[in-house]
Order: sequence, then C-alpha cells, then structure tokens
Amino acid sequence: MAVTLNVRDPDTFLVRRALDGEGEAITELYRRHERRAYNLALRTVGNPWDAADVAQEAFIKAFRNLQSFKGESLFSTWLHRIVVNAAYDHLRRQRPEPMEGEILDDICGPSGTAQIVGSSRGAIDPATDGLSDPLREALLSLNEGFRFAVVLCDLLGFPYAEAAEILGVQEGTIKSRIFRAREALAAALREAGYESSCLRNPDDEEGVTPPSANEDEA
Amino acid sequence: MTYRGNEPDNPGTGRPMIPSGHLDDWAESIVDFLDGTAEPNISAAIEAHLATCPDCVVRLADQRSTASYLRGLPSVDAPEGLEDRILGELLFPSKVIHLPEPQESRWPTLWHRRLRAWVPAAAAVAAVLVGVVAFGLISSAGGDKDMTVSAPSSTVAAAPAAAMETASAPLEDPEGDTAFVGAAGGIDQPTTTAGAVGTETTTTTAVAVAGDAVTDRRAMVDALKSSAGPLFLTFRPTPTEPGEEGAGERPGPDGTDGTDPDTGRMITSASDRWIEEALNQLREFTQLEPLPAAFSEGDLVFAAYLNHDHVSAFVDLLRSIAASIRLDLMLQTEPDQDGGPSAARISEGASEVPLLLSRVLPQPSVNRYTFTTSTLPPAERSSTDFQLPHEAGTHVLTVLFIRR
Repeated sequence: MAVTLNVRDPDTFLVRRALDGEGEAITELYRRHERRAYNLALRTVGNPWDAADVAQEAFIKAFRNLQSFKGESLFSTWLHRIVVNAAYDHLRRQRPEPMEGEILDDICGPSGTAQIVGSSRGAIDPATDGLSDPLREALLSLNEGFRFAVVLCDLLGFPYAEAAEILGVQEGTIKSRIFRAREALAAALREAGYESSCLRNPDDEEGVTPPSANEDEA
Repeated sequence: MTYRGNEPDNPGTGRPMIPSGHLDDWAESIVDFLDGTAEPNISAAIEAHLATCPDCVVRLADQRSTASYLRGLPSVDAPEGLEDRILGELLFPSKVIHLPEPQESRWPTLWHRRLRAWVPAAAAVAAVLVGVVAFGLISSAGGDKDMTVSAPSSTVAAAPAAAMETASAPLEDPEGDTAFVGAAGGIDQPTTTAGAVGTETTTTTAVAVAGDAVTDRRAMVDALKSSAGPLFLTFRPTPTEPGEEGAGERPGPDGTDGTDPDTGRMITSASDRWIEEALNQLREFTQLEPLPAAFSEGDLVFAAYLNHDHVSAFVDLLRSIAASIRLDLMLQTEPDQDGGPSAARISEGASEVPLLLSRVLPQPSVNRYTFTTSTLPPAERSSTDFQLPHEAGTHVLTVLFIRR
C-alpha cells in the first residue's frame, strides 16, 4: 500500500478504502470536501459555471490519481492544491496577455491602502446566481496570489499553515498577502457602497458612492 | 509552483525592505495581532504606534471589519447535480464508448475542451429537435433506428451524432420540408468540432444508446431547455449481469404483465418492486402521479409542463432516482413504438397536463429542490388567448415512461 496511515488526518482511512476501489469511500470522501472545494473555485474564478467545471476537473483528476497521494500532507491539503491548480489554469486560459501582476508593481504606501492591481477581466458577468456582486468583483480585482490567500483563510477557514502548504509558500507570506488583500478588498467594497462601520471618519468627504453595477444582483 | 502575490518586499517575511513606519512594517504580524496571537513585544509596538497614528487606526479597523465580514460569509451550495456528474464519472465511467486515454495528465483538459466544444453545438441540436417536434413527427413510423454512427464518437459526440440521425428521418420523408436540409447541415458543425479535438478517439458503434436517444446529462438539459416539447423520457432498468447484486430485484422473465382493469395500468408483481420504488420516489419528490387510463393507453406514463428554468434540477432529480434504483434514463424526441398512442392522447389532452413547480428544500437534504404540481386553472383554459405553457415558450411538455 503506497499511502501511509496518517493519524492526524481524519480522511486517512477513507483514502485507503478508496484506493481499494470502494465506491462508498469515494463517495464519502467526495462529499466531505465538495463544498469547500467548490467554494474555493467559485470565489477565485468568479462564476458558478466555471467553478463547477473547475471543481469537476479537479475532483476527477484527484481521484483518478489517488495513488499518487502519499499521505505526506493531509488529504484535504493535497486535494485543494489540485483545485487551486485547476482554478489557476482556468484563470490563465482566460487571460490573453501575461498576468498583470508580473508587469505592474504593487505599491503599498504609508498614506493609504495598497493599490489594487487590476486584472485584465473587465467584463462583468451579469448572472451570478445571487452571490454578493460587490464582493465577487472586489475579489476578482485582486491579484491572484492575494485572492487565493484571502479566499483560503478568511472565506474558507483554512489554517494559515495549511493554506501556505496548499499554495506552496511560507506562512509569513500568506499572512502578508492576507493583510494586503483585506485592505484592497475594504477599499473595493467601500467603493461599491459597502460601509465599514469603523470608517465613519468625519474627515472623510467621500461618503457612500451609490452602488454602480448592482443591477447585476440576482 | 508558488503563486506570486507580486510582493516587492522580502519574500521570506513579507516585510517591506524600507520601513514605512506604519502598519506595513508589521504586515503579517498585523494578522496575528488581530487574531490575538502576536508576540507580546510586537503587540506592544503596534499598540504604541496606533496611539500616535490615526490613519493606521482606521486602516486597522478596515482590516478587522473586512476580516470579520469575510469570515462571516456563509459558503455557497455546490450546484445541483455536480455530485452526480462527478461521482457518476468516477464510479461508473461511461460504458458506452471507451476512449483510450493518451496521457493521464491530459485527460481533464481534453474532457474540458470537449465539453466546451459541445456547448455551442447544443444550439444546433436543439434547433433540430425543435424542428422535428414542430413538424409533428411524433409517430415513430419510418424511424430507422439502425443507422451507424459515422462521426467520431465520444459520450459527448454521441448526442450530435444522434441528432444527425434524427434529422435524417425527415430528410427521407418525401414530404419533408426543405428547411430541414439547412438544419441538418448545421449539425456538421459539432461533429467537426468534436472531431478536431478528439482525433485520438476510436469509433465504436453506440450499442447501449439507441439511434435517437440521449443519455448524456448536459445534452438532456440542453434539449429540454430549448424545446417546447413534447419530449419523451424513459426509465428502464439497467441491464444486469447474472449474479450481479440486485439482479433479483429486476423483473425477471416471470414478471407478470397483467393489467389493472380499473386504471388500465400494469400490475406490479413482487419482481417489479423497483417500479413501486420509482413511483414512490416520483410521488415524493414531484407529486406526480401516473396518468389515468384515458391518457395512458396501458402505459405507465407521466406528463408535466416543466419550466425551462427548472430543467437542470428536474433532470438531476430523475438521474438521482435512476441511480438509486439502477435505472437508465434516456430522452427521445419521439415516443418509442409502444408509446405512440399515449403520446397522441397526451397531446390531445394537453390542457389537462399538470404544471411542475419547483420548491427549494431547506438544508440539509439530499435533494435541493423538490417539485409540486398544479393544474392549469379551467377558467384560463377556456379563454381564447389561452396559451398552453409550452406554447408560451416558458415550459417544455415532458413525458416520462416507465418501461420494463
């Protein structure tokens, strides 16, 4: 048996049974992770249809290659790394030009929030299945590295250590990205009309801008 | 592969090379600080800074409220049917056509591209299906079901190939409208697309799939969504091998074929337990009952107007029922030989056919949606402007046969 039992992994026995071809184990393993994997895809690629395709691609790839999971990480970590790869591939395929993150610098000045590095996707998909549109657009306006970090930890609740393992970076890097992603999101959400209650700064002249593209909201 | 956040700062710690004197100097420690897990000396330094920097106080408040907002967001349900699709492919890989997998790693991308190639073709298929139905080709006479599949085949391409065959029938009809030539010509499109992608596929005659039947989920959904109907679904037990688990529950050669004199329906015997189960599940999840004798002509058949918006949910529900009782589900544009009379009756009595309404079940539940039925109000029916739901373009008249 190629996989070693990992007592810290709640999925370890299911994985072994799934490797034996047991359908029930495959089903249970799938059901345990479907929601988080789908939400990871959804929040990073931005729409339910592509997210479903990404999730499908990832799950099938994962289960068809289950023998390559050696138990060195948690099954969840291994699986979500595959989902991240699939999402990343999908995002790559959509970009006609190289990722803007590689061209523009991200500047974080002392006076204010990090500059949001825009993605090349300007078009807004009108039908988003009732998801919060300002959040969706705000997330999509983030550079992918930041987006994945904040989605994994703040939205999906992955511990920083596991998220770091999933993305293949150090824990410090994850936290740093989360710090900057949150700032960028706060600015984007504020522009979209969301108010942070702590932002009621009497010196702030901006006020609340009326939500612009919210006729998209289902 | 690492995912770059494009930090110009120290990749190890994420701290800026040039201290700004503000929150950015602590970057990752701010996250810990908000979580209450920062080192005491770092916390003290941050607090000392905040005491003198109102800008950073605001920034920190943004951090905190954004984090709290994001963490409080509920996760979203995975879409209806995703599980069936994925588990279906993992547990029961398509039996009909076997694709040699050239390289394991290319498989997901290939498949993904095939799905993408299929989507635009679905419109052409749907156009043909609608055309076939609209010209009243409900009778099965003249349908040659032994046509060979000449297009490169895959589970996905079987549907455009099937549509080609459906389109061929009217072409052979001397009275067929010449408009069909154009429609059938458009079908070449999906074959070429599929062919361009799938050159490594082998062509195997589709044995389990009848010449004009659709079993692919996506094709079924597309067909139902784009049609007014009537479209014909059939539940049929999956053929079982001898000795296979559950074989004993299939109607064997001794299954009675008696007819209930009251309803004209077939009596279900002990070996037909699966029929009872199918009826139960349909009743529970859709409130649909088999049509009475006046419509059914002895068949076990259901009919309903299905809203185009609920097609996916309904198809997934039927597939879920089929999976649980080990049935095959297929979609055809015309009824099979035996179903012709029922189909005719249903069309005649179309105003009696119930409407399916969908209802979302609260969590947690295996099926996200369930359906209820309502009948078309009689008053409306007598109005001269009254349009049947499928004529109005919002619904598809769906007929479901249960066959041994």
